[in-house]
Amino acid sequence: MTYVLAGYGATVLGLGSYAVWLVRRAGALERLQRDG
Amino acid sequence: MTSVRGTAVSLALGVAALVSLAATVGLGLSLPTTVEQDDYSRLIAIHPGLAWASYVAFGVTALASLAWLWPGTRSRTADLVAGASAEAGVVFTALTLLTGSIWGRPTWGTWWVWDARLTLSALMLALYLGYLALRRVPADPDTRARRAAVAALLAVLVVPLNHFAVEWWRTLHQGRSLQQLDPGRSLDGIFIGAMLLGFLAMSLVYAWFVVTRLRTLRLESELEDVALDLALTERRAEAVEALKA
Repeated sequence: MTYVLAGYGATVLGLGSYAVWLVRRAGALERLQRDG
Repeated sequence: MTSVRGTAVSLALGVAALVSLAATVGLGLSLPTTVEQDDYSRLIAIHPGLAWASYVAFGVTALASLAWLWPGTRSRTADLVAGASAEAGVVFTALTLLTGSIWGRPTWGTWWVWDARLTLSALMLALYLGYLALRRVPADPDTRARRAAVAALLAVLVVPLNHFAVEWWRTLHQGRSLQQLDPGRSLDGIFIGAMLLGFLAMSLVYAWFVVTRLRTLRLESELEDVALDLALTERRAEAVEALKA
C-alpha cells in the first residue's frame, strides 16, 4: 500500500503545487495591475 | 485590460476539477486487489489519466501553434494558449513518469528501464522543457511566437510515437489499458470505470490549468507592453532634454 499511497500523494501534491502557484501568480499580477 | 479575477466559468471548472479528482482518488484507493498486481493496480485510476492529459496538452499546443502560423487565425491568444497548454503538459508528463516509476518499482522490480514507452516519455518531457525555455529567449513577440510554433509542431511528433510504442516495439510497459481490460468481466469493469474517471478528472484539471494560466499570461503580456511604452516615453523625454541642453 506504501507505493500506492506514494503515487496518489505525488499526484495530489504535484497538481496541487502547480495550482497554488497559478493562483498566487494571478494574485500578484492583479495587485500589480491594480497598483499600476 | 484583462481581469485576473476568476470568471464564473473558470470557478465552475475549478470546482468540477477538484470534485472529480477527489472522486478519482477515493475510487482508486478503494479498488480491490488483483492476483496479478496485488494493490498496485489501484494506480490505474491516476497514471493513465496523467498520460492522457499530457497527450491532450501537447496536442492543443500543436493546434494553437498551427493557428498562430496560419495568417487567417494568427492572434496573440493562440500563442499564449500554446504556451499555457505546454506548461500544463510538462506538469502532467513529469507526474506520469513519477507515478509510472512508483508503479514499476514493486511490479517490475526497478524504478526505470530504457524501454520504448518510458524512453519516449522522458524524451517528450525534455522536448517540452526545451520548448518552454525557447519561449523565454528574449525576442519581439512575433519572433518568439514563430519560433515556439515551429518547435511545437516538431515536438508533437513524439506524442503518437509514444502512444503506439507499446505496439510497435517490444516493451516492458504493458499494452494499451483499454484494449487489455474486458468490460464483460465485472472486476475489469470497475477498473475501467476508475480509469475513465481518472481521464475525466485529469481533463478537467488540465482545462482549469490552461484557463488560469492563459489569464495570467495575458496580463503579463499587457504589463510587458505597458512597461515598454513607459520605457520608450522616458527615452524620448531624455532625448528631448539632451537636444535642449
